[in-house]
Formats: sequence, C-alpha cells, structure tokens
Amino acid sequence: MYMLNAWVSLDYVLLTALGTLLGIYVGAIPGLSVTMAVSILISFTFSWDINNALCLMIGIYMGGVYGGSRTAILLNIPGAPAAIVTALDGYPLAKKGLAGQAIGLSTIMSVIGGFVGIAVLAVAAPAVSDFALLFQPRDYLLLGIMGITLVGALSGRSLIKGIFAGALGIGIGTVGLDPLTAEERFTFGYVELWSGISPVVVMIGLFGLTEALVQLHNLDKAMIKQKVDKIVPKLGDIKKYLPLSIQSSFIGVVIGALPGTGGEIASLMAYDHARRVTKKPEVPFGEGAKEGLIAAESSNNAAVGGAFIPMLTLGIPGDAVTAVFIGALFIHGVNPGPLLIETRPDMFWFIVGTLLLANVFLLIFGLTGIKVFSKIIQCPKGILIPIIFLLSIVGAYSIHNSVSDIWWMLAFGVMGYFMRRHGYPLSPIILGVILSHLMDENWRRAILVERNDLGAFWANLFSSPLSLTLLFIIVFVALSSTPFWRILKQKISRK
Amino acid sequence: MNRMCITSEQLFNLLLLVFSSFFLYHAFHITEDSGLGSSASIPIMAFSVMVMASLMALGKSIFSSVRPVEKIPRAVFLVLLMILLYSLFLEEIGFLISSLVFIGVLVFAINGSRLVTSFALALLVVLVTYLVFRIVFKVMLPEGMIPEREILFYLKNLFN
Amino acid sequence: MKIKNLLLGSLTSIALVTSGQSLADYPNKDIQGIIMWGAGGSTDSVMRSVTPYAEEKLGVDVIMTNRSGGVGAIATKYVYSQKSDGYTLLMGAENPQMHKVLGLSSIDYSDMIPINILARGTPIIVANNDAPYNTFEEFVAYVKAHPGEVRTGMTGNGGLTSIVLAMLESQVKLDLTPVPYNGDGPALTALQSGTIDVMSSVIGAALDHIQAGRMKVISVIDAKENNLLPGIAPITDTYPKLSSYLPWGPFFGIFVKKGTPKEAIDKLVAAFHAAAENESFKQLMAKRGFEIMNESGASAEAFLERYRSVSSWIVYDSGFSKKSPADFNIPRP
Repeated sequence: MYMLNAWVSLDYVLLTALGTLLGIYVGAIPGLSVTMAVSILISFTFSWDINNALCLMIGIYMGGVYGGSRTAILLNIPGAPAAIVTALDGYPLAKKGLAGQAIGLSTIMSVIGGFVGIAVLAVAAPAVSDFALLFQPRDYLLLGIMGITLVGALSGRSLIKGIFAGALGIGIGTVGLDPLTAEERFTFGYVELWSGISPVVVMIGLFGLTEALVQLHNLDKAMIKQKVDKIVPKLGDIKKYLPLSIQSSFIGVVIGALPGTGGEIASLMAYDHARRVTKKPEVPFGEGAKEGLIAAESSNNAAVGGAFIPMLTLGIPGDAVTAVFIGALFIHGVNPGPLLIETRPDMFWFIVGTLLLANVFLLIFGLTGIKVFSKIIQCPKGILIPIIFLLSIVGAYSIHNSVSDIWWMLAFGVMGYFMRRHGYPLSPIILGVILSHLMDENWRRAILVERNDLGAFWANLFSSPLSLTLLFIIVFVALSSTPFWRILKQKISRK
Repeated sequence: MNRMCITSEQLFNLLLLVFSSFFLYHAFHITEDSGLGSSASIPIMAFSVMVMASLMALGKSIFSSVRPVEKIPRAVFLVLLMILLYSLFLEEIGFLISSLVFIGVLVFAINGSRLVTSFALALLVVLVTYLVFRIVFKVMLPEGMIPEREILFYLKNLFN
Repeated sequence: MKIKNLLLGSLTSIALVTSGQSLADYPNKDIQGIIMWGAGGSTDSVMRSVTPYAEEKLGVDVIMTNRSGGVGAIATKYVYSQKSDGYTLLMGAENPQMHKVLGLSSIDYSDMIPINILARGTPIIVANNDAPYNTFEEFVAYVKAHPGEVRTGMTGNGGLTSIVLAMLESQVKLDLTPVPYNGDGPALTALQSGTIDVMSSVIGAALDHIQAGRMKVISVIDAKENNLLPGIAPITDTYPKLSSYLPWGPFFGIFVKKGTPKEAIDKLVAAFHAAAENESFKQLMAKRGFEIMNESGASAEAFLERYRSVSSWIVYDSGFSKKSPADFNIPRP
C-alpha cells in the first residue's frame, strides 16, 4: 500500500517525470554520468523533503541508464559504460538508416527490462541478496572468464587479432595504483595515472573518436537518409522478442544485484546469452542484429532494479549510483541497511513505487522526440564531426576534471584508428577494460584466501555447487563454439 | 611485389609486438612479490598473450598477400593536431575561447563554410555546451582568461 | 593573464558603480570544493551534508567536485597548485597525513591550513557471526591455536586496516591471512559472505550491520567504551600500553592552501563552524557513529600533528613505510 504514496502526490509525479527526462539527457551526453548527476542533486535537494529528492534522483537513474543508448546508437559514442554493448548492434542499424527503429525498439526493451527488475526487487529482494552473498571471489572470477569468452564472438575475421585486443583491454585496466595493495602498475612515476585510465575515456577514444576519424574518409559520401516512420515496434515483433527480453532481464537483475558488478557486465552477459540462443538472426551479430540490441537494453535497465536489492536489504551498494543513493539517504536521516525493510517499509515501497513510475515515464519520453534525435545525424558531416570531437573532448575532461584524460582519449582514438585500418577489432578492448578489475581483483583474492595454494583453490571450487555450475557453463559455452562440438552433434543426430 | 619492402600492416604488427614486449618487461618489475596472487599476475598474463598474439599476427602478415589500405586523408592529421593543441591550451586560455576556435576552424576546414558562418555556428555550439555542463550540471570547465565566476556572481547579484 | 586583469578591472568598476560593493570583500565569486574521494563515499557524503549550511553563511555557492585517485594525493596536489586566495577548498579525509612516509607525495596537511576538522571515527574489530570467538582475548587465543587459518580483510598499506593491525602487532604476534580489498565497503560485504573472518573498520561503516545482527564486534580500538556499542571492552583492557596511541581514528576536514589571506580564512572558519553546529548535521554524524570535533586553528593543527606522528611511527615500526618519519621531522608520539 505504501507503494501508492509515490503516485498520489502531484509533486512526486512531476519530479519523477522531470528526473526521468533529465536522466535521458545526462545518460546520452558522454562525460555526464548518472553518478555525477545524482551526487550533485544531493546538495541541490539538501533542504528538500526526502521523498521529493528521491523522486528526482530515481528518475535520473532510470532515465540515465536508458539515455546512454541514444548516443551509442546515433554516434557510436556510448553515453555510459552500460551502453557499450548497445553500440555493437545499435550503431550498425543507424548506419543503415534505421536509427529511429533502433531507438524505438531499445525503448520498449528497456522498459520491459525495467519492469522485470522492479518486480524482482519488490517480490524477492531478501532472497536475491542472500543469493548474492553466496558469491565468493572465485565465482566472480568465473563470471569474468565467462565474459571474456565473448572475445571470440567480437573478433570478426581474425581471432588472433581479437585475442590481442582483449588482452590489451585487460592490460589497460590494470594501469594505475593497484587498488588492493597500492603498488604502482605501469604508471612510470606519473601521478595522474595513479587512479588508472577510466573505461569511459577508453570508450570515448576507441568508439567515438575513432569512428569520427574514419568518417573523415568519406566526407564526400552522401548522408544516409534516416527512416523515421514505424518507430514504435509492431506488437508482433515485441511478442517475438519477448522471451529473449525476459531472459536478458533476469540476467540483468542477478548481475546487477551482485555487489561489484553493474549494468555494463550485465549487458555483456546478456549479449553473450542472446548470441547463443538465437539460432538464425536476420543479420549477423555486430552488424545490426536486433537481438543484440534487445539483450543489451533489457538487461542494463533490469540491472537498475537489481542494484537496489543489496542496497535496500543489506545497505551494500549494487553499483556506483546506489552508493551515492546510500549517501543521500543518510543525509536525509534514513539508514539504508539490513533494518530498512522492517523499520521503514514505507521507504522501501516508496522507492519501488517511484521506480515503477519512472519506468512509465521512460516509455513516454523514450518514444517521443525520436524523430528529432535521428535527424541530428543527418546534419552535414562537416558540422556534425567537429561537434562530436568537442563532445568527446569535454566528455573525457569532465570525468576527473583533468586534461590528461583528453590525452588518453586522443591516444586511444589514434590507436583505434590504426588498429581498425589493419583489421584489429576494437570492441574486445573495451570488453577487456570492463572485465579487467573484476578478474584481477578476484583472481588474487581467490588465490590469497587459499594462501597461494592452487590445490586448495581447485578443491574448494569443485566442492561448491555455485562455482561448479558456473564452471560447467563456461566449459559448455567454450565447447559449443568449437567445430568439435558440431561434429559431435552431427554424429549424435545420425544415430 | 617487392619482397624487400615492408608493408604498413607488417610495420604495424611489428610495432604492436614491440609495444607488448615493452609492457611485458615492465610487468615483471611491478612487485617483488612472486606469489600467484601478486599485483603482477594478471598484467604478466595479459601482456604475454599480447606478445604471442602480435607475433602470430606478424607472421601471418609476412606470409599473406598485401591488403590495400586507404590513404589517410589530410583532415585526420588536422583534427589530431587541433585536439592536441586544444588540450595543451585548454587550462591556460579557458574552455570558452579554445572551444570556439576549435569548432570554428574545424567547421571552416572540413565543411568548407565561410569563416563567419563557421564561427557563428561555433559560438552557438559552445554556448549550448557551456550552458549544459557549467550552468545546469555545475561541471567546472577551465576558466582560463575569462573571469567566469566573477561574471556569473555579478549577473546573479543583478537578479537578487 | 593580462586580459583577465583587464576584464576583472572593468568588471570591478561596473560592480562598484552598480552595487557600491568593494571587490576586496571575500567571497565575491563561487568557491570550488575539491573532494578527495569519489561520489557516494563517506568523505563525499559528509562534505555534501555540511557544505549547504556553510553556503548560507558565505552567501555564495560552493561547487563541489570529486577528484578521487592516488589515495587523495591527486586532489591535494591540485588544491596546492591553485592560488592561495581562499576560492579552492580541499575537502578530505586522513589519508594525506601518511603520504610523506609512504612516499606517495611530498604534500600533507602541514602544508595546508585547516578550516575545520569536522569529525573523527572510532575503529573497531568486527568478525563473522559464525566465528568461534566473541571477545578479543578469545580471538587472540584462537589465532594462536590456528595459525594462518583466520583470514582478515586489508585495504592496502597505509589504510585503516593496516594501521590497526600494526598497532595490535606491536603488542602481540598474530598469524593472519590477509585478503586485499579496495575499500571497507566491499570488505564488509565479504565478511558477511564468509570470504574473510575478521577485519577492522570504523563504527560508522559497520554499525548498521552490527545492529541487524549480520556481524559481531569483538573490540573497540579506543581507551574507553563507546556508547553506541555498550558492553564491548576497549582494546586497552587487554593491552594497556596502546593507550599512548589512543584515541586515534580517521577524520574528515576542510583545508585551504598555506598563504591564504587571513580575512578569507576567518570567514571560512566562521561559516563552517556554524555549519557544523547545525543540529541536523550533528544528528547525522552521531547516527553514523562519528564523533563531532568541529575544531579549527591551533587545536585542529595539534590534532593533525598528533595523528600524523602516531600513524607515521606505527607504520614505520612495523616496516612498511618507504621513508622514516624522522626525515620529515615528525616527532615520536
């Protein structure tokens, strides 16, 4: 019943709407992150009533996660790390003149994902958080390995070059003071490198800058005409993709609920899943497969609901944004912790209600204004490209307010440009950067917990049902993508 | 085909090999801790894989036929130079002026618009960006030569 | 820079004509606050909850920016590189006080002027609920009987966990297996999922989990019992010698670069002092288990100096500092 509180006051509804709308733009502009926007709102909404403040912040969170897909589809610059996977198939669609359709589809799928996430939060939050606590360092490591197997799928023509790119990404991710022991890794005495190279900088450089540089090659080519009719996907289409969307959403909720993994890893996992279950995509993955877009968008929005689960049940943030939420709730005198659901059920249900409301507004705002957005990329290249460059620069700068981030962005842009010229795929690099911390930290914890004893590491791995299941999935996935598997399958079916 | 001539692809792969080896060498010098869980373990693994992969790619590029590569248009160099200059002078000159020049020059060079049109357009873009970042989201952009905070404070007082 | 002066000059004349206000009045523009830890961390939320009250007193906005990284060294260096005009504040935690001996940076708070030391936290030792010990003595006995079997969460050399452990090691040899984490949040989660058995933390970070019965406290690193944790014996009951180091704990403070004009310092001190007096801020800090200090001037400097001397010598004696505190004329406590 408390849930209805969020809907009965006009103030709440309007603030949620405003937040969602703002969030879409925050998410879409590279360099403006949801984390940043929410923490600015803390001081902005300081003297407000807590419910009002929450409405605005939750709206921004919901809108922001979705908004990242806009620039990912239109410009190949994911507005946020969670939208990286969206760019893989979204941008090729825009290149074919289907930007409008892609945005429409991603909106619907985001909303579905959002609803699944909220439903799980409302129904099963305590159970999911207990499950999340079962994950040991070795299980996080296995999740990382599962993610890295995607390199195979993202490599394109040359697997060797794909593996090189993936390893490069992992290497880039380790630059900086080691977060665990504070030892310097590849910093060469340069203090600005201590905090490492932000994945967003790598992403803006490799995706945005590289793409814009490549576009300079075909300045003379005519712009692709964007089709702006049939933006809202047909009901039949939605029905057809619904199972995949729901499955991706569940992956999103669970990964989102794990402390330390968020929307970006969730969307990678869901993408991997989609690639395996889709027998015959209309277009290959990476060239504009709708299934890829659906998996990415459903899962990253479902991860929002997921991220709230450990926060509201244990006081543990599920991702960077919920960490800021915890700070905000504290400031307003609410302790988001293991006692919240018991002592302040009104607060719990108010958050659930607001999330739901924000999701509804997402549907409304997401489906309006698509025409204007897709027209953006029809403005002359000679004007659009300089603007993309400026956006990339400002985006890179504003992550840490530091000029050296512009240099990294530039360096990655140049590197990406030359790697692309010579047939190296770029998306495995980003994949590696995202997964680097997860794998590095958890491999080391997993082995240090056993005092550097590999035997004990394997013994514990095989005696844990969770770890065994994860290992089994990895082996299955690895085998199923080798030719050996196909031969085996043929033999079995012949018998 | 002249066998003595190194193709750009071979050169690039060689460059990557050198790059990976350099970092692999450094990875071994991160820490004195030689345990499996030391801070060097994952970097050593990653860069070893890179060394091997770039070696294989180099081998392949030597024995396979040459793929034609497009010539790099001059605009690419111009843009890279402009970004570099921009980043070098950003903090000194400030966001407003350097962005104005950046966009103005690039639109003028790439789009071939008239100089006045280019800079009028640039002014619009810069103002919108400034409004969104600095005013709405309170992201501090480098001020440089223009005393922005004084101006904003003055403007604010006018309305109070 | 000439253009700036020119613009400033013309602007001043406009301001003088229109409002009759002199430019010398501090503050006459928005102030920048540089937070040394990321959004959502405890430093971030403390700073964002006290600053709005100070803004009211100052009459200008304090725009807060997170410049995390390098264990706080990046933010400290940045503020130090700015003009000492009182328009750039450093909003930080205890970390820079260790930077000299750890070889991370050559700047610490002795190169700054404290505007306000807002609050400090009390370290505690928490354990997994299933651990077969409930008091510190039982814990020591268990570790002695099972060397290497007890796993403890560590947050890097110079972090709270390393200093508390070094304090304990100065009294008793403990064979623990360290497991590294990148902050006490993730480590406390790992404590609940059983990856680690025991760790040191601050009351504020663990209080909720303790009250919900998801972990237990086995000691308070202080010379007296804490009223938030009644019945938990202070560590000095077991090791009275530690009282020379105590009370010790992480803190939050606001600083400006040395050389800032007195007028600006006085205004900032007054504004933040009033802000930290605010009832709702006090309540907030009490709830999070932080002790309000609200100190400035000589007493704040004495506190900073003591923290630096205790921590630097502890890490030096336990052998993981890069340089000797004596090199920086840091006296032994």
